[in-house]
Amino acid sequence: MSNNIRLLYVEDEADIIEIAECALEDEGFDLLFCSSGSEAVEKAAGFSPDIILLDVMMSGMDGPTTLGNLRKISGLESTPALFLTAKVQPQEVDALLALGAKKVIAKPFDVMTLADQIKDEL
Amino acid sequence: MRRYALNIPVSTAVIIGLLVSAVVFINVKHREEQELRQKFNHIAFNIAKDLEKEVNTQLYTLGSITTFFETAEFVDRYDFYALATPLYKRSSAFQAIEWIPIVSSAEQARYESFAQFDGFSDFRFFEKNAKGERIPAANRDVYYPTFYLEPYQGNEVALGYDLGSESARLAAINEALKSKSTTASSPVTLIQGDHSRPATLIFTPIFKKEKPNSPKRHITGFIVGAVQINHLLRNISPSKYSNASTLKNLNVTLFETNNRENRIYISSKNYPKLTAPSYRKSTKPTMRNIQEIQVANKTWEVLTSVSHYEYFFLPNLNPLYAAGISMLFFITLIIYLISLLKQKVHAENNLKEKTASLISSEKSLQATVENMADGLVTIDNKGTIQSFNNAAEGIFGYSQMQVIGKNVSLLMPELTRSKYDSYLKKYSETGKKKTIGIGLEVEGLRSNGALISIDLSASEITIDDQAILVCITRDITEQKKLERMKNEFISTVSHELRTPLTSIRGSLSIIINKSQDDFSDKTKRMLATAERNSKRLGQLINDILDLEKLDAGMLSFKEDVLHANAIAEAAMEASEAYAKTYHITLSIQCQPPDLMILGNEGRLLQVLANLLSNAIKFSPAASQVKIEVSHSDTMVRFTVFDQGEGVSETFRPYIFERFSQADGSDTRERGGTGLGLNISRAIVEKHKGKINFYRTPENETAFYFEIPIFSPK
Repeated sequence: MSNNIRLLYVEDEADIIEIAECALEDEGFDLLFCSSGSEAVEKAAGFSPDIILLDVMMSGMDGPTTLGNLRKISGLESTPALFLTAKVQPQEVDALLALGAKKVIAKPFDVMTLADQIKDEL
Repeated sequence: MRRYALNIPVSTAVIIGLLVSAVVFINVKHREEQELRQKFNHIAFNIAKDLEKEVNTQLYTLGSITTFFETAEFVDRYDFYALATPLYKRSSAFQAIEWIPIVSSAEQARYESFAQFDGFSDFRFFEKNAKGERIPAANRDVYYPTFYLEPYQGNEVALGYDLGSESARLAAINEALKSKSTTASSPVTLIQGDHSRPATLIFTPIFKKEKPNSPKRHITGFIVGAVQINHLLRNISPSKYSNASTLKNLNVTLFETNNRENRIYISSKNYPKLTAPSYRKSTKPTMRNIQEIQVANKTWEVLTSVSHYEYFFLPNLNPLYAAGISMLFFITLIIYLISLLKQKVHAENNLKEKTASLISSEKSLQATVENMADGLVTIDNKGTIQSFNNAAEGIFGYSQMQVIGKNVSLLMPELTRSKYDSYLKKYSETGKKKTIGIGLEVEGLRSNGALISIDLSASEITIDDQAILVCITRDITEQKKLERMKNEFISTVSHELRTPLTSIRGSLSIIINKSQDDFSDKTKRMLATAERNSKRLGQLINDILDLEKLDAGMLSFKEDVLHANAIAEAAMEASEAYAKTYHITLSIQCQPPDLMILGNEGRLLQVLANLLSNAIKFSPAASQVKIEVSHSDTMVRFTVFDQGEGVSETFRPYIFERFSQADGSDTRERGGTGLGLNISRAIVEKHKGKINFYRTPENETAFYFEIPIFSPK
């Protein structure tokens, strides 16, 4: 077991996943990318992440629903969760924080600071 | 209509006034009359009594002469003179006092010669014929000659007249002989004196004993008093009985009456002619009084009256005064009534006009209310709907008839209803009004059960001590729907734009910062340009979102108590990297003390960042941009100084407007959305502050904004 931070990232946009991968590689993360909520729910227990990063608007299961489902998995009840979203209007941010998210990172995000922003919430 | 309204009551008042005046007149007159009548009766009674007394006094005085005759052996002419003179002198009523002996035919000559001896040489017993001529007395068994006579002067013609020759006199003589008492004759005309005046003769019998010491007596003659009845009446003066001026002209008429059917007129006072006045009761309202008096054996009636003329025109003005006063009262009343009626008519006309104008204004108000575009619902303090206009019918889908009188909760969904109920309960408990206010968005319930969004403005008014809630409602369901769609659209668009932008920016950033590859300088420049413009695109998206919120009036934010200096420092720090790319040095200068402000940190930083980025962009290379925090008594001012060219004269008026940039070429070169200052102004104004710029004497451009100092209480 490495000392890397185990990050579960749920994002249905492949381009964004690729950018995020570039941004977070060599920053001390073990990354698991899931392209849908259901995939995340399926793989999360086996991965047992230290932190969860979620997109909000996704086809199929959306971000908040996915988080709700992940919370039902034992061991993930209180895992820090962050949203990475283009939905940045104040009421939208407030709603996401109310779901128990630690932080809402706005898209477009700064590639250079993304890793630090995530680590801040650990 | 107006005329009649005035005329009927007034003419009624006039008639009533006249009637009442007449009644008052008649009543007072009647009372006055009663009083007068009483007075009059009293006078009449006294007149009769005095007459009776006077006549009987005469009778009594005559008695003194008869007594002398009865006792003396012989009474000569001189004796008679001595006896009678004081009597007739005392009473003006006596025309003459006479001695009438009873003389048989055998003694006639002796008596005649006896008188002749006394000096009356042509003395004869005589009588008068039908023509009134003096003729010797006819042959009779008994004569009743006038033998002694006083006063002689004026009565001489009567000497020797045989009283038995005339029926009225003879009747009185016979009655006296029969009754052996004094009698009075019916009215006669005296032989002497005024023929037009009636007189009565009073016969007082003279008794002689047939023999001395014999109790038996017989009548030997009479002492006769000729009483002028006029003279008796002449002495009656009403002023002696009353000072009532109305009773000065009394008529007193004497009748002799021994039975009711046979009255004989004797004499009267105040009737100029000796013609008997009508004894029958007049139909005219005269005052009459009849008293009976006894004169010897005769009964006289004393009829006292006041003539109709005098009675009717009594100079007593009391009734007239009374009637006048009552008339005056009614005239005043009528005048008052007329003025009252005029006022009333005036007031009625005024009222009509006012009512008409009220009705028309009411109608126009009604029409306005009915046809206004907004729904108008009024409810009382129990929540009962009192009015419901056309627009309200359209909004809620109920007709007026269906809702008026019902509770307003009918128009509310369950949630609003319970809120409303608690408000109403609180209101009725505390009486405290809670202004519901203007522009409140509430949910309503349509008759078909659909929920609708309503813009509600409610205010409480008081009419006749009754609190009424006036609610103006506007159906904003469609508007809300559109708004929601717009929000969703913007949210979606911004999301959809951001997602690819994230990829672009991320990629560029990774290439520039993380790539190990060597790029030509040209490629590096192109990559930098691409990255800068991708950032600009991101800013544009943010600005558009802000603008949308500004337009919706929803640029709301949480306010915290902030340190002004810390804000300025944070802003400088955030812009440091950007400044570096333009080779600009940033500096900060804070005037102590460190003041507190109330505001949203993010938004204030946004304003400062906007000012700083503008300053950096428009500064010449290697120049300085300075942030200064200063303050007045009430405001904290943040100023950003740069050494750029400043704002051109023509652009100044538009600098805070949307999409405004000094010129096209600059825009492209310097970047920016043209929305920054517009958004900044909106944010500053939200903080109750203002934003502006000026040129310093040192040729610097200074953009500043100031917001109120926060002072905790």
